[in-house]
Amino acid sequence: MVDQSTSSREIDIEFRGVTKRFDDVVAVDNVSLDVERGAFFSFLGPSGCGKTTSLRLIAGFEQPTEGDVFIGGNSVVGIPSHKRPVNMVFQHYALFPHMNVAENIGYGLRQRSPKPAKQDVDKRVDETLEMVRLSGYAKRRVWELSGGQQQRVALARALINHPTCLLLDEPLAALDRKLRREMQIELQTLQREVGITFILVTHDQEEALSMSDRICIMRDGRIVQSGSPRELYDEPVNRYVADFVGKSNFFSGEVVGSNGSGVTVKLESGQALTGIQPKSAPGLANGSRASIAVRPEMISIKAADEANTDSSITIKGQVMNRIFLGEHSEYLVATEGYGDVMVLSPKSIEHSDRSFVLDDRVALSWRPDAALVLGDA
Amino acid sequence: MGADSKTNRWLTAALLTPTSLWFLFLLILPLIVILVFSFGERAAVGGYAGGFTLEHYANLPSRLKAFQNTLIIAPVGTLLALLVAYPLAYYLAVRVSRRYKLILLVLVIVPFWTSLLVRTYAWIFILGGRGIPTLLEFIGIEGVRLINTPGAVLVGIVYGYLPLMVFPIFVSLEKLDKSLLEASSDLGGSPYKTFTQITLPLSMPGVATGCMLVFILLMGEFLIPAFLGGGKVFFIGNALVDLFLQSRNWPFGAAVSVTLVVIMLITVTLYMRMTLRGNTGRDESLM
Repeated sequence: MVDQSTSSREIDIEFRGVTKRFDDVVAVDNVSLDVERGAFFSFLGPSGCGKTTSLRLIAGFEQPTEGDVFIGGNSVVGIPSHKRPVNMVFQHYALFPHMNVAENIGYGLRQRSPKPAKQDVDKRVDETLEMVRLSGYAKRRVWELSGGQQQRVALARALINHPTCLLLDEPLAALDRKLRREMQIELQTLQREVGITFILVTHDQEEALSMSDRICIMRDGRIVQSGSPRELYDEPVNRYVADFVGKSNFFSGEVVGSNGSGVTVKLESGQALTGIQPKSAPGLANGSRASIAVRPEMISIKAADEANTDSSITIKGQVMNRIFLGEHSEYLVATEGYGDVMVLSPKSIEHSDRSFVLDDRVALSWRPDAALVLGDA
Repeated sequence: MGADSKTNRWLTAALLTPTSLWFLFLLILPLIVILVFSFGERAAVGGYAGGFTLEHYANLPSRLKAFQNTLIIAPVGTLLALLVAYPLAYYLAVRVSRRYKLILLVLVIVPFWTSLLVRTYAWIFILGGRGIPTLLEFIGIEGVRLINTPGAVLVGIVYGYLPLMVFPIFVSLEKLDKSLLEASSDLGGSPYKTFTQITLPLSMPGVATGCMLVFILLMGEFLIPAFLGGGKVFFIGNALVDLFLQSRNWPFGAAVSVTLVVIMLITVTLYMRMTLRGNTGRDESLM
């Protein structure tokens, strides 16, 4: 609807030095961030990282201990949730069991003062039901619906109020895998249609990567890194992010030197590996702990006797395990001095001479720029 | 499968037998006896003498006052107990931190560890001449009479029956999903609207159960009116004690009992109809 590249960069949600303490537990620790209008923004992290508390600070269920929260440019500190222009889709939907689908969806409109006319509410409810493809379900009891349908009622109940920002607390966690994938696409489409800011909380990196424009990775109440899904995947600032977003092989050791072409890390086994540092990552001093991270799909696997023609880094090993995953195969290779290495080999190159079985001697190689040197923080 | 269902049937029968016998001998047979007695004659020395007459039913209006008192004070007492119990149950279920919840719950039950007789007796002193009225005299309010009034009986009822009302309401509020309250607030519902539209309707099963428990027990109450009503405010229960134990007019007592049972059946049936019609939830049958 709105062309994001030409519209001015308006900020819908902003945190300035926000800290939230529960007794002596710090749930959110001095977090500052901003979310642009119309963005699909995700908080990603393991349980207890402060992502849900951050969402609840926006919703108004919690008030910050320190710092300031802004919605649409106005500070909302001290303003209770029922006076905030945001709406939430709860993890278990929190549909009102004593109301039917239409009553649930119209709830927000009926709370307004002056109370809108009944036929106006009914009309809006019908439109919203149509938007979430639930026309004809208006009079159903909410517990008669399937998980996916309940999810859509929860979405409709929030979106009918035209919030500044829609908050989604692990909205797909209760759905099975296939339905989850469908709802991910549906959510993205819906977000483009209504054009409002979506803020998602999830522990599922795949979900965050596939839906969001921007992701904020949290740990222990702090932001570890925020950026686009591609930035997080290609240029993680440290090992934690690389480990959380996608899969990686890590070779950990100690930084022994760096030059223009890369940083060299000496592994515990005495072997040395060289890699490059992601642009945004903090510099690493000699002697500091670091890991070389290589994504499994960046590694190519060849027979051990095949000649190595380019400047790739090559290590030798033996196939320990092979899992056929359909579109690709996952190999686990025991190497000499580098530990076990995981390799993803796409089906397109898995023809007869590139397909290996247990105990085959193989050579693994990757381009030098595929190896990232990351601090262990 | 066939053998299994046969053993199952035997097991079911075996498990149900004690209850069935209990109901038969201690509930149904006594009720039949009472019914038969109510149509009989009073023996010259008291008790029952057989025969068939409707005179005891014709004589019911002589106990009109007891019926009136019971039928007014029992519902009013139930309502008062509800008004006192609901905020308490709400506080316990929603507001109190988990740490203190158990302690406070136990405190609600503690009075039950002592006999109701003793506790009601204590109220005679609190409400009696040397209790609250004397205290009121200190601040210049004289001539207040509390004991032996309907008010005193109501105080005793609220005090004695409070836990019976608190617990069902507490349970229904406790199992109320707190995210529903957040959802209501999130959708713009003020705390008051959230209470009237979400909390109250969803706790109605507890309210209905509590009211029914208290009401049914109050209809048969005799101790509290006897102690705190002092012969002035007496219930059907007091009339029955008098008829069976003092004047030994068993047939008339039986007729009053049968009438009480009929009144209860009618009111409870009507009440159930009402609450079940209002019931919209899944598991909101009376707990």
